[in-house]
Amino acid sequence: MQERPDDEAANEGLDRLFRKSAEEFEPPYEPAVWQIMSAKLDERDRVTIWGRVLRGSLAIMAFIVLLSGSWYVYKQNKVKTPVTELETTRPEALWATSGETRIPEKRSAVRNQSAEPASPVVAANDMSAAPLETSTSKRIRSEQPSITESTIESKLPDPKNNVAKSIVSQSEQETAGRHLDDQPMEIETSQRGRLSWPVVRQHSSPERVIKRSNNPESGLKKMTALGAKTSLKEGSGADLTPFVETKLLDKKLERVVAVDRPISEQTGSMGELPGYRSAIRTTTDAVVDDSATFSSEQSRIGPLDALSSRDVMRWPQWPTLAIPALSLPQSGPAAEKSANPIRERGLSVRVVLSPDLSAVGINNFARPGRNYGLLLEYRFGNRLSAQVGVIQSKKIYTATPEKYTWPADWKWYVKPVGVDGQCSMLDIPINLRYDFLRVPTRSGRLPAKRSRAERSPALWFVSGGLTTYIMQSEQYDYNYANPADTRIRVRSWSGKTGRYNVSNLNLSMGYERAISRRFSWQVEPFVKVPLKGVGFFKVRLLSTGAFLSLRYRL
Amino acid sequence: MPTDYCLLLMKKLLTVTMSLTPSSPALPELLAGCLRNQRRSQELLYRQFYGYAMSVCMRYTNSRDEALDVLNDGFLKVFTRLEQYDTAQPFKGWLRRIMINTALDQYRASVRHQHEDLSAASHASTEIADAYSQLAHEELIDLIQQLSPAYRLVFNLYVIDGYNHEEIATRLLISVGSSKSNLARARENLRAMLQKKTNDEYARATR
Repeated sequence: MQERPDDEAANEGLDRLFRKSAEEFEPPYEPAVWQIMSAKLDERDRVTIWGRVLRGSLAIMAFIVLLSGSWYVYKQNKVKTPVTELETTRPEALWATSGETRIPEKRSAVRNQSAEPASPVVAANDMSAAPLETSTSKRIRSEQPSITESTIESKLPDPKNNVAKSIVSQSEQETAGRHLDDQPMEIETSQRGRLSWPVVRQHSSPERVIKRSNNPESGLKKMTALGAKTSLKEGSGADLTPFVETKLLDKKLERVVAVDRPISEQTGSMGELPGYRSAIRTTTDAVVDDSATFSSEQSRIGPLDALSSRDVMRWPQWPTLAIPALSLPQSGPAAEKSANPIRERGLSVRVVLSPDLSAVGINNFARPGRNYGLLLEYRFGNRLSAQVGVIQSKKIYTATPEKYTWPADWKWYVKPVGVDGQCSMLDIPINLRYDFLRVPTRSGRLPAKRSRAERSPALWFVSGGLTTYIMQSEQYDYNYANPADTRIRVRSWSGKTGRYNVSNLNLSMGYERAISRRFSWQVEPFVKVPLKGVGFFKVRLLSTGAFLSLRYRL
Repeated sequence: MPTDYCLLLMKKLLTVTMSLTPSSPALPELLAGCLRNQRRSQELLYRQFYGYAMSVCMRYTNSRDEALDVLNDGFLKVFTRLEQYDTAQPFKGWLRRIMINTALDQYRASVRHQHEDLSAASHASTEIADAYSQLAHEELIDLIQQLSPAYRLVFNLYVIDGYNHEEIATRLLISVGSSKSNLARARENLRAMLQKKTNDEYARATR
């Protein structure tokens, strides 16, 4: 550092020496080193995948929020436009009716029993009430599967409203023979029905009530008349439904147009039920109203019969009318989707299969049910596709009674400690799928085939959407702490309650891999998050599983 | 001496050809494969440029393991930012810049962790490789590795990679003056180490 010039020269020599070494030095390659690098790359890929998953799922969430928001608005509007009172009263009416029906059914059951002791197939229930129910349910079922609901109701003897009454009647029931009980029960129930059903009564034609009330009968006879009526209906086969439904339709045609109301009508079972109930209701009302005056049952039966037969004649027209009207809103979005065709985008069919783990809440998964279905998938572009379809689903779950929404008028003498549910339903999903990662062909090993493979490579996707459930059958078994308790009246309920629009949120993620030009398979774990309660008891049902599916590109 | 040199040359040629032989596709093809995130192409590229990149990383670190860390981090950047590479420029230059930057990043990170003073020369280890023929390249690199980090970086950047003091100052967040003095001390140390090495050799030879 002291002598500059010397330094310069010395430095230059030193620098040159090291520079040369640096340029010439080249450590040999060790294959092992690549392993470290490869692991690092894998790690990076994973990280980026998750980054993309996050982004993708955010996008999908946003979409879903948008979708459900717009659906909500749409629904709100829909509700407001037609026949407001009917619409608004509808939801309660449904439940109310169900509650009501039970009673009438029970009544009828009892009645039937008394009237026709040789009622078909008495279930082996130890409870006195139980056999009655079962018999009725059986009978009703035979005419109309949907009406099986009534079993439940019938099980539950006493409604909430007139607690005192019910209790009295119950105690009566318990103590006295069944046949004797019938009377108090009926009256009480009818009263109850009246109280809880103002709205329903409105659409169930009041004139008819009047008509009926015009034909007075003795209370007991009325009962029997009812029983007879039901049996008559049964005899006529499917008329029961038409009878009820036409009544409803007569009353308010607009209702059919309304979206949510239709749920019940559309599926038929729901609609019929209220109708049927209301019919019964009216009769019971009549009974209550003019409990003093009574006429012969024959006169009553006559008109009813006539009515029903008339309705039967009309019956065929209605369903055809109603169904298209109802299905319109649903087909709307789908049509929209397919009407969006950017050609060269593809349509494909997908067959899916999956176990189904369902639960109310997040634990207590029971043994797995199953899903299988057919989906139609439309690809809009590079990353986005939409799918609609039908999945037949069997869900088995168990839950504590608190998770169920019991109809308000049910009263337990013995509370169940658990409820096992087993439901078959159709799951109508509308999903949007986003392919967030396309994995190019594995290495460069198949360069010749690359072009093909690149068009349908392996890919990762996330998917989200909404599901509508259509109940096909529901079966609930109540578990009691002491099954031998003699006060237990109901042990199970089965039936079906129709359609639940947009009841679950579908979220899934999966991996798809091409097999050939047209075929590809994929694995898609999913979760269906409840948005609202489904089924008779309005349980918030969470389902999960993994779809294994095969896609065929059309 | 000339035979030695010839031998070295042949050896190098051999390694080069060996590294290229295993189905070595042309560089553009490799790069295209890497862009598609094909693992095989990535491996080939890595293999092909490992030696070159490693020679850079070794100079900037004090051990082979550390160099490998820098190398792999650097290659990760290469693979993820490959679309930024301008094919008009030589690939090696780009690769080298990435490796240097990675080394500097790592150095900065380590300084932040272990508040080691930049200027203090935690002195070069006195242990010296006893095998002396003529100082092979590797040994010289080894000497560089023995420098304290602050000296090593400045020396590398200035002498070997051609940065000027201003650039170095901004890159390392030091003053131009300390860059210059670090360079001087680096040279001093290297010279001392060389001297010691030759002395030892001499001592051994005369023993």
